[in-house]
Amino acid sequence: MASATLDAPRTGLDKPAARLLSQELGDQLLKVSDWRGDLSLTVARQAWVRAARLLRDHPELRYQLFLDLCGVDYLEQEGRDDRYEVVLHLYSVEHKHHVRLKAGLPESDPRLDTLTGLFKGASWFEREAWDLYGIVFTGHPRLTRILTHDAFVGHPMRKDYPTAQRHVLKEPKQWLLDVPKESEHLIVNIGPSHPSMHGAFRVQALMDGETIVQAEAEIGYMHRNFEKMAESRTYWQVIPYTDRLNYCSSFMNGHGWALAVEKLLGVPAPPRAEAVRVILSEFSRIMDHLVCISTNVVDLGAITPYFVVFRAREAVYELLEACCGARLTVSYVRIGGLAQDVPADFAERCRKAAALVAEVTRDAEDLLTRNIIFARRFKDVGVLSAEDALSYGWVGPCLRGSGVGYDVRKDHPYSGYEQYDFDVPVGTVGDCYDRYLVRIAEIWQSLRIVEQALAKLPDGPVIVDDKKVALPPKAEVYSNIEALMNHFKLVYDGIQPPPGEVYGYSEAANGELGYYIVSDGGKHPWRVKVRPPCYNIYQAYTQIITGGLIADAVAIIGGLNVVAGELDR
Amino acid sequence: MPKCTIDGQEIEVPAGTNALKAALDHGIHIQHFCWHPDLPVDGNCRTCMIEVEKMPKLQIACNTVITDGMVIHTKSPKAVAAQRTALEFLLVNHPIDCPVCDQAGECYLQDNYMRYGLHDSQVEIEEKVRKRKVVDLGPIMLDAERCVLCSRCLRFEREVTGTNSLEFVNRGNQTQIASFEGRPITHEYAGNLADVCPVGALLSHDFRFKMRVWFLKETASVCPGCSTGCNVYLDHRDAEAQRLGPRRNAEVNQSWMCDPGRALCHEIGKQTRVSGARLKQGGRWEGASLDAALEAVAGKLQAAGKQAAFVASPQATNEDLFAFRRLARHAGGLVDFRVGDPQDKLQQRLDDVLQRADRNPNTQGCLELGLGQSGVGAILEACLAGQVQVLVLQGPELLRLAGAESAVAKVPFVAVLASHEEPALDRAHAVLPAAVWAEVDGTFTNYQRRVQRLARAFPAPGEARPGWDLAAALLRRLGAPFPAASAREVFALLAGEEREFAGLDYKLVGATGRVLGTDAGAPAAAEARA
Repeated sequence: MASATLDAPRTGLDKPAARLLSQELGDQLLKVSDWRGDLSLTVARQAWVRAARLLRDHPELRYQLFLDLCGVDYLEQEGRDDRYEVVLHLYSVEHKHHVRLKAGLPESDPRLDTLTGLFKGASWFEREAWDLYGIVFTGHPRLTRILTHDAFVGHPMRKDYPTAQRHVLKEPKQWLLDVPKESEHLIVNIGPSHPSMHGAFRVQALMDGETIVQAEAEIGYMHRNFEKMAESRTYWQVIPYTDRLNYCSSFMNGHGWALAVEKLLGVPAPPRAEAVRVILSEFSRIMDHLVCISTNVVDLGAITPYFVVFRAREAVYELLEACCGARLTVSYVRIGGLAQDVPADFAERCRKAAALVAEVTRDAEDLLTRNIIFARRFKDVGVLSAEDALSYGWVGPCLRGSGVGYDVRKDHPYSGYEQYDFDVPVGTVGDCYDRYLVRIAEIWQSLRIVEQALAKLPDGPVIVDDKKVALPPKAEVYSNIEALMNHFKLVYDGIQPPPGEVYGYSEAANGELGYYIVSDGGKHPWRVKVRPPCYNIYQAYTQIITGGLIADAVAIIGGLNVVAGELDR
Repeated sequence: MPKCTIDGQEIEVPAGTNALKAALDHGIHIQHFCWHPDLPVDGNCRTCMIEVEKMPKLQIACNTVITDGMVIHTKSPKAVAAQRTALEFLLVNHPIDCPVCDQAGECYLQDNYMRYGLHDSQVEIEEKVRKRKVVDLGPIMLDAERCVLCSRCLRFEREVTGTNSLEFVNRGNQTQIASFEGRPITHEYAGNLADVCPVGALLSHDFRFKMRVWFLKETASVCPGCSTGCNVYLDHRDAEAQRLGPRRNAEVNQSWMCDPGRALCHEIGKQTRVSGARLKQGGRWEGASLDAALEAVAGKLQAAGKQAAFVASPQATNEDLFAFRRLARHAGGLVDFRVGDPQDKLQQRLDDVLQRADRNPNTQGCLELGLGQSGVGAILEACLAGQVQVLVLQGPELLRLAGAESAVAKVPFVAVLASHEEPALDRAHAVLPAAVWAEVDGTFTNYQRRVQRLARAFPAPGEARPGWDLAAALLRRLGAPFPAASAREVFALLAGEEREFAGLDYKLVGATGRVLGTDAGAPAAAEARA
């Protein structure tokens, strides 16, 4: 293993967050670094909550969007006193800036104060850090397992956890809610296997008539610990795993992963690759939105829109198939570009697919937008305020439906999004109807982007010319020893980025998809944390449905677009 | 000690050190092919080019002796260009072979190409000079096309074995290595030729095409083949030993090991392994759980009282011996280990390189622990006289011993710790499954009195357990506590009881071992695998 110490102190004290935190905390601000554009602040663990509150509340900072919180295990890493680290990522919508806050925890006492009092979204993330790393959050109201099950022994993301170990759950958890024995309320289990649950997750609701009085969610049914697997794969071997996060728009997950690793490497992809990535990402977004809308209305009994829009999904799948041979789990992206160039008639195929998308989107709008039954089921149902949405860490169409116009493509353009003219649609009420309208409007915006990107699709290579990153062309591999050795070394030694940590983020169909990568300089990532957009979104679900009708719970879940692959990872 | 500066780093080295070794020792990598830490400098590959201030021309690092005040640049544009060019020349005639070459994954050409080359090819495949391929040299396969003519193998043959089996033939582009009339290599150190070869020109017949090396995990250990105790790497995958190779220890085996030692890795995973316990009942073997077998042996020991005898094995680790000795002392019977008098052969050399006549790794350990007490003859006499009710054998040596059959047959109950099936086991009444050296943590003491560490590479099959663990289980059943749950803890007990081992622990033993009776100090650092 490379012995270089991670996260050597670098600059960044000029940034407001660092300056203000240093004024407030003095020498409890232990380290500041600003590497690859990521501002990273390490504080003493006593100052954890104070630091987070300052970041959230100070008018110059306003890091109100709770993005992610995770643990890292630095077992036997040289140059470190503390084995564990808790890493928090926040975003300031007002000042358009990300920040990373970290605190080290000793192996003997991995304990940290909870942030649940500051951010509603912190609850599940802290449970996850406890579940996977055994980090205790003092003051957390319900620090229980979340991704693994109750019969699980140990903490699987710890570096010394024996991965071959198996734990069998014999008895499922019957009660998620604490219901007093004398209660006359009815308990209803929605899921884990239920047609309206869009995947295997479970909600237990306490009913008073048809009204939900109290609800609790259980997730983790699809947990495979993708993040642990990534720790024993090379950087590009991770790509197929990312396909299985939000599998409704798998291309975008790979796109985000490639961007994060490229950020770590400091190696951007060539313009043609970026343009193709944008086009296919936008088509994936369209497909994801269409699936979300149509399956949502299926839950409400409207089957026609489903059949109408799935024609467009088929067209997008055919387009992806033409590019890389696969439809659902495409694995088309490579670190530094794309696996291969698009077919010669790419533009023509795109325009054909775009025309069909436009047609079905119009049809869907005709069927739904002014449909009185639909409107009654959706309007003023499932409302979440902008403030709560930020506190939970909502992103993407859901956050924008609640009136916060944050879109990574606009605010932190990547892959050349700055070249394209498009609008960011924003809702006003934050109900199901707004989320629907935002998605429909985004489909039109995506079509605009696709058209512009096609119009100026640059020529040139689709993968970076860097022998330490990209595989040599096959013709070369078969005909000269240099390329052959290059190929061999890259396959079994992988890409070896410099030691360091980055948070790479992009606008996936459900919003900001983040990858927090820690590299120790070796061929495997030391730590990969996915910030899965719908993990935060689904966390708010029980709050939204409480007080509403059970029928509304069904209407709401589809519009949140919770995808189990991404939720449970 | 001269001081120099390499890439801005101030370095002090012993007089006479060359720049390449100085740099490598201080974490600065310079590519090289022909230089080897245990072979004389030859300077023929020209790939370790460095720029030395005040010297007009570039120098080869391997033949530049560090002098006081020398300022060296290994990454200056001039040096980098020369390094790349030298590597490009080495590749001019190299075949496009990686997919069928067993060296891929541990090849200097591949590694150095990624670090120093990264150039595009300028040679057409048709222009390459063709040479002999798949030349069978007995334990070694020669592929002359892959050879970079570094002469490491020639120097090994000349300096280490003194056999001079290999030589360069032809001139210029056609130069290649060959043995006289293509005769096979006959000495017992041929495996080292494949090890010193930085490319895929010389490959081990034994390992070839068995396994791609990047799937292997390596565990640092000690060869159990003789009292020399060569330091080795055991390469394994999915709990299967794949090969043994030398681990450099300048005081014991330098960078070498013998072929019989290498072959030992095939013994570990044999089908004939004893994976479960068994007891003889009414003259027939019955399988038994380990617990039941231990219970039976403990019961017999209890009943026998002082009418028990114990034969330790010089194949066992110090930890095993210590626990076994405690068991013997607790029972109070006769003890010895000298079946076939290994102690007489302990220092006796078989050749001028490494092998010793004593084929046990830990005879010295038995001596250190004072296990040579009653004498094997006395034990056999006692058996013949019917004074031994229970005979506990740490290994099957005594069962194999010619002439001891009648004495052993007189003993009503013989228990043996065995790792492999063999006919001799039939003379016993209880067989306890024992782990072998690759499956345990522990230490051996070699002929130099050097205590060296073994590390557990993978779990033992079935119910097989380390020898100390079996002895401890018997002790507990006899009502004697054995306060250790791991080999490390057993070693701590041992260090507490034995004056010669006092103050030692696994950390102090370190990667290269510790000679008993020498002052405690910092352990030597492990050397990176060449």
